[in-house]
Amino acid sequence: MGTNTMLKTKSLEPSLARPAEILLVEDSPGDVRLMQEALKEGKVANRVHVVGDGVEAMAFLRRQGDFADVPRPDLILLDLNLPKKDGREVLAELKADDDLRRIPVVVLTTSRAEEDILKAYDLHANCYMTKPVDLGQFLNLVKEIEEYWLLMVRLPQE
Amino acid sequence: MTRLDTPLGDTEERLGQIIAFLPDPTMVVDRSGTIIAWNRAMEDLTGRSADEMVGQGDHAYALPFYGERRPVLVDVAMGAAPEAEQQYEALSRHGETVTAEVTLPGFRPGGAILWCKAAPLRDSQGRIVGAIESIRDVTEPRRARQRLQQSETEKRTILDAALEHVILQDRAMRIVWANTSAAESAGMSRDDLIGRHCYEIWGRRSDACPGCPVLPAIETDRPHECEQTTPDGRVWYLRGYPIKGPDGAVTGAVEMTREITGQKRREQALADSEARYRSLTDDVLDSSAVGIFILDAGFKVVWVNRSLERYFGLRREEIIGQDKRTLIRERIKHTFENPDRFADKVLATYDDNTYIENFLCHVLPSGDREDRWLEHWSQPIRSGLYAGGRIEHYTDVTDRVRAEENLKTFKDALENSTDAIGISTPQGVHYYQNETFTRMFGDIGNDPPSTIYVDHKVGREVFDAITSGQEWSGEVEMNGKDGNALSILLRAYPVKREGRTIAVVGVHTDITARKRAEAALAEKADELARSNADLQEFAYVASHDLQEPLRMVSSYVQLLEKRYADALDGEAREFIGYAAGGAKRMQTLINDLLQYSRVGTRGKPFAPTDCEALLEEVLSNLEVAITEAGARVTHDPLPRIMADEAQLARVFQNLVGNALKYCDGPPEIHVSAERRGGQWAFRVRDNGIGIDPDQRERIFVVFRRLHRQNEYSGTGVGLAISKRIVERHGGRIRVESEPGAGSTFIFTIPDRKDPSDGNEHDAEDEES
Repeated sequence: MGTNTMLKTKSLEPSLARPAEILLVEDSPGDVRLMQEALKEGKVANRVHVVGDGVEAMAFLRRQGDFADVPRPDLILLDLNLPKKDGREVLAELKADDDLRRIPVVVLTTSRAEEDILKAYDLHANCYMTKPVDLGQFLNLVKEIEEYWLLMVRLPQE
Repeated sequence: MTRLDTPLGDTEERLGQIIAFLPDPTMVVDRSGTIIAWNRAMEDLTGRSADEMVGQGDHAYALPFYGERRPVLVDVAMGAAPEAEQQYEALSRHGETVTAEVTLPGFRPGGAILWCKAAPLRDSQGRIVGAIESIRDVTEPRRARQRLQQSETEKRTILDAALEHVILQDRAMRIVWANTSAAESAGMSRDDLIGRHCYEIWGRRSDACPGCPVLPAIETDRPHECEQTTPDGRVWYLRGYPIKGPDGAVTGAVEMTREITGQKRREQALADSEARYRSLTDDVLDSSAVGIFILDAGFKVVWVNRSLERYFGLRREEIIGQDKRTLIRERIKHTFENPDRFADKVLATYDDNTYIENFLCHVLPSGDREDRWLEHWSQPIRSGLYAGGRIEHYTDVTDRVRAEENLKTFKDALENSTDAIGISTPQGVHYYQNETFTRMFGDIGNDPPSTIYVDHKVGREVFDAITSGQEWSGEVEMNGKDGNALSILLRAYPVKREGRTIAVVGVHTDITARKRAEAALAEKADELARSNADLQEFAYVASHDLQEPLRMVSSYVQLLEKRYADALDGEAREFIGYAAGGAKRMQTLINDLLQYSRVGTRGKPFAPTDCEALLEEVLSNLEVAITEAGARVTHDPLPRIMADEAQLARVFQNLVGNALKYCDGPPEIHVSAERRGGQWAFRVRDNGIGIDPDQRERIFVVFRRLHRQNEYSGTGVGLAISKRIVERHGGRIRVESEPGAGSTFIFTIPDRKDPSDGNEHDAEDEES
């Protein structure tokens, strides 16, 4: 499934000399598409890498198998309900990984369940967001995630 | 007539004639002792004729009297035979005349007493020429006098021998005679008593004693009597009898006096004894609570005491002296509950008066007679005045019988208890079990109670705990009658008397069925827990999995609208609008449903909650809506209660929110609270459109709306959630309303005690 899509971005205040690498872990094609649409409208040039399940996500991050040449993502957008290995396991694994744990992880899910929110933060998610049903709100949210994590916050350099 | 050859001459002749005429037997002798005259009376006395006797000498005149010749009184008169005086009694002389009496045992059969008188005859020169003797037969008078004297002596002897004092007194009460007893009593000789007064000797006084019977006897000529106590303390019985003279006039009196000091003492002693006896019967036996019948040998009633009168409703005057058997048959037996049994039992004791009878009988009430239980106890009287009789006691045992009845009631209660009750001695000898016990465990005889335990060891432990004075309660397994194991809730305890365990009681409740029910209930609870977990799962599904496709629908419809708006015609845009609206609405429904399901599962523990502050917060959240509606919201002081603050806020928010929503003018909303019966009743009153009475229950059902969507917005879950919250707090919610007249929502929250601060409520209670 390793769809690797290069997206054209309009860079206003690039903090990176290169386009931002975003790993989207999402199994719903509808959501993938919506997210891509939303990120297209973003201020930061970015490349979105999409994986459809947790196993692929970890393979991507560890550059295993087909993912040997993939870049290290600057931001991970993680859905919780995933086939094979769900988002919580992915979160737990990568936050337990000395190398990967500093990559900001935004949990982006439809769940408003309190236990999911608690669990996500317990596993050191960097933030937890619920996908709005309204399209406008969704687009705004993605825009703000992008601006916040890619422009506003300072992240450690590689 | 005999001619004398003496110088008497014709004198002699005349003398002879005179002598012959004398009525007394008379003879004349001459100096030589020859009989010269023997008159007719002498012939009659002696049976010897004058012819035979005259002329005889040599004491021939003695022959008819003495049967021999001897000198007689004529010889004495002539002075010729002084020795002859010896044979006479009471010989006396008057001049030359000698008189004497002589007793002649052989003169007649039975003897005779003759009175003789003799005198010498002298001639003119005074020479004794002869003598004359007259004889009178005084045998009868003398004998009569002797008899009289004998009688007199006897009477005096009797009087002297009498213990009574006999004192003969003259009219002046001077003592004329007194008997030996009187003299001895006075300590004086009989002669010394004569001429003195009895009052001076015995009464030590100078005139007659008061009440003296002698004086009135003399005065009235009738006997009198009296009792006197002399100064020395002796008591006397005195009688005075008048004595009359030959002319019938009273000459004096005889006083008979008897000392009765001893008798008086005996009388007093008798009176004392009687008083004691009376006291025994009247004061002691009469006051006894035991009713007593005393029967003599003929079973006649001798005596009954007061208790008996009261118990039987009898009066002793009516029954004393009566035959008890007749009394029983005619009266007494009807006093009792079972008359014939009573009569048979008691009458049998009279037929065979040898044994002790003892039985219980029941007196029926009637008139003054009370309902009473009596214990009959009787036995033969073996000695004394009433030997052969019978004494019967009736003891009032009403209290005891009532106590026994009570005991029986308690025992019945015990018998009928649905708990199995067994009692054993502290040594473990089982001796009582009620019916339930028998039904539950069967008859265990005298086996130790530990035998009914499935585990005998547990039974012994329990038993040891109780005998050491402790109570024991808990669940144990016991063997049922049919061999099945029963779950028993056992409460066992010692019964103590004066600190000593005298019995061990076990109360067994069969909780086998309850345990089974509990197990079933636990299973239900598990099911419920599973179902709750399912609900949680649903909640999760609702929050995530249901929203996911919904969001797809919503997002892409919007994206379509956004990106292709220009390419679509008006109708297509309308359709897209409905689709987007539906998706949005569905999302709201899902959210509401989620919240509804979370009331129970996401609740927080109750904590002290300041309702007033909470309401202020809710109102500030609703500020926009309040302003938009132009509403006025007021409230009374609200209490501090134990509640889930977030949930309670939601209730206020829903109710105030509803009031803001369902109105057709500027809303007037008032919130108040009132403590009533351990609960706080909160009221949220509005002036809105009101609710039809038919709809009042419906509004609390989830998703049940009363209005079309275009009239009033909302999913209809707010009141359902409020209801769940209130119910979770243990309260109720309802609405009072009339269409067009506004609504008042009333919900109650129990006034729970704040575990962190116990004083606050106490103080509040004191104020109210």
